[in-house]
This record gives sequence, C-alpha cells and structure tokens, in this order.
Amino acid sequence: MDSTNEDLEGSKDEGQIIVLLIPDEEYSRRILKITKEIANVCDNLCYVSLNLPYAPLINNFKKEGIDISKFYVIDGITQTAEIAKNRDGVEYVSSPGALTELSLAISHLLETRKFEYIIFDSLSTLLVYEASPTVTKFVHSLMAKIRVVGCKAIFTCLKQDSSSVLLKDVNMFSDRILDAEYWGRKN
Amino acid sequence: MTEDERVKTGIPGVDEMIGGGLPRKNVTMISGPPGMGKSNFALQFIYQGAKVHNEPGVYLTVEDTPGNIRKYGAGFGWDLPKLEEEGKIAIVTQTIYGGLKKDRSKSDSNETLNDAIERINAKRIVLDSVTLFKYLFPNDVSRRINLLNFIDQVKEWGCTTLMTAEQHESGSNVSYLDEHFLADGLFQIFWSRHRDRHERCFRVVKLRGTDIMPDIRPFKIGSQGVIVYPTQIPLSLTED
Repeated sequence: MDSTNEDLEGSKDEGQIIVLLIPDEEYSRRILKITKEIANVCDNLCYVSLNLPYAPLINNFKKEGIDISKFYVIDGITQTAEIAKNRDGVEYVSSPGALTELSLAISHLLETRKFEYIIFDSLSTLLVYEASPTVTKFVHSLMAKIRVVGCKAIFTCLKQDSSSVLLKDVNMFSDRILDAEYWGRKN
Repeated sequence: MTEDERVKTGIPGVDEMIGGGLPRKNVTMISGPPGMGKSNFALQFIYQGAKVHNEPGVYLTVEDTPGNIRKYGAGFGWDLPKLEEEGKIAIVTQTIYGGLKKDRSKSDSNETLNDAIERINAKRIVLDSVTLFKYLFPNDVSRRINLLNFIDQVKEWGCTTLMTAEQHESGSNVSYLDEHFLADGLFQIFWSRHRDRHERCFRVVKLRGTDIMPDIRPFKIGSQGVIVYPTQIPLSLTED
C-alpha cells in the first residue's frame, strides 16, 4: 500500500480529518473512486455536495457501483436552480454560500444520525462563493463539531487551491493535508 | 438564582443564553424590525408555558385580532383554541380605537386583562406590542407613566412578562428607545445581510440578575416555531 493510501486507511480508522488535494482535470473521476473506497468500509455516511445536485450525484454513485443506501446527502446546489421537493435521504441547503445554514444542517445531522464518515465536496467550491476568512471560520467551526462527535471526515479541494490562504489555515485544524494524485492513479 | 426562580422561555436555545430562563416576575422586551418574528417569539413563550410548563398565560395584542393569533399558532401546529378552552391561555385584544376586551372565539366578551389574568391564574403575560400600546396615550409623559404602571402591575400580579417593540435600526448600530430602559431584560432580533443573503440574528442585550451570553446568534422560524442556535456563529457577520 502506498503512503497516501495508508493515510486514507488511517482516516477510516483513527477519527482523522483529512483535506484531500485532487488534480483539477481528474476531480470528478477521483472523487467517485474515493467515495466508493470509503463506502466499502463504512455503512453510515454523509456526503456534502456543493458541486452536483442530488439526482446526478446519485446517478454517478449508481454507475460507479456505490451503495447509495449508505448515504445521507446534504445538497447545497439544487436549490440554486429550482425549488427542490423534500425526499428521503437528502437535505437541501439554499446555496453553497449559505454557510450558517450549511453548518446548522451538518451539525443537526451529526447529532441525530451518528455518521461514521463525512465527505465534504468541496472546499474549492466554498471559495467560489465566499471570501477566504469566512470559509476558514466555517471550516474551523465544522471540523470542531466533527471532532466532538467522533466522526471521520474528508474535505476535498482542487490541487490548484493548495497554495490558497484557506489551505494554510486549514492545515492547523485538520490532521493531514494529502495529495490524492498518486492514490488516484494506482486505483 | 435557583431553577425555580427561572421561567423557561420555551424557545429552544434562548434559555442556554440567559442562565436557564427568565428571572421570575421580570419584564423582558424583544425588539426588532417588522417581520422579524417578534410576535412568534412572544406567542411561543405563551404557548410553551401553557402546554409544557403548566404556566397559564395571557396574550395581549394591541395590533392584531385573536383570530389571527390563533391562525399564526396553527401554522406551527399549536392548538391555541384547545388551550383557551382548558383555561390555560387567554387572548385579550386592546385596539388603539377601543377598550380592553377578550375574544373567546365564539363571541367577544368584555373581559379585561386583569379579569383574564385572575380567571386563568396567569403566570405569563405577553404585550404585543408596546409600540402601539403607547398610542393609547396622548403624550410622552403619559405613555411613559402608563407603561411604568403596566410594568408595576404585572409584577404585582406575579407574572413573568414579554413585551414586543418595533425597532427600525438593525445590526449593532442601535439607538435605544425609552421602553428599553424600563424593562428588566432586552432581546434584540435583526437581519444580518451578507452579499445577497439575509440571516435572522438574535442577541441578549441585558437581563438583570443574569450572567448572559451576549454574543449574536442565528435563529430560524421553522415549521414548529422559533429556534435559536447558541453554539452557531452567524457566518454572515464575518468580515471579508
């Protein structure tokens, strides 16, 4: 097992919070691979999607052979395009930039659903909607809540944002910042 | 202050910010701009008091009809008429064009606030709102005297009181109104705007005899009423 893969294994076992840097041009494919890897060893997961609306996200999961029954989705994007109808397994947040609403939704679900793992997709999208200090405050607060409930988490980020101020700050709050490039190629 | 000396507001999150509840027999004001949810806070205080804490309450409205108050409650799933029938809630209306009367839904009676308090042995009172209440009196001196008399009276009745007040300023640039200084406690609610979004925010400005949490916190008006989030930072207030 390569070192990055060992780190991912570690994140599954040790309650770690990891920021995963994913190459820009391969982001969609790799996030699916990583999600599948985690879903293979966890039964109760939360996927925070700020990039894909619920329906195409779930379609992608199905195509990849991911067991969607293991997931509860927080969808921060659908409501920017349409008024979403309530359905099981998903909670809608009005916008990726609605950080207080997003934080409250995640906090509530952390308390009530006892997730083993959260996949947060992605920090880079937050930076599209909000200035770095606001995103930093949000991530700091969210990571603290995740630690309090003993959950594990991966926050994905485009590799091109690895030199951003946000990543420098998040380095303090997270357990590790990992480059997923090698892991992605190998898998 | 012991737990018995605290009155649970029935608004999730608020009691955690004020040491467990409002000091018994205190008069607290909640102020904010129109449409913020002041009446929702006040009605929830009365409903939860009667429903959960076995404390009957009188809702005195100066600007709305009892029928509308019942509809607002029904919107949150609160069966106010049932509690009225059980003698746990009374809705008294005092319009600026008429005298005190109580609406029992079937027919208006001439029951006064005082009578309603005695009849249901009220422990809680809401005055919604002080802003219009003032217009019942011809000048500032008379308004202030009558408001002070009202506050003294509700304390004599042994009731814990929540009053609503219009406040057009928002955020931290608040100019305080006369009535803010008369009340024992002051809650402020306001909109926080950040770019294209607005968030509802709640703040405890003062509460005599209580070590308050003075930080600004977000609140929501959900399907079951008002919820304040004492552990959530309102991220709209973060400066870029």
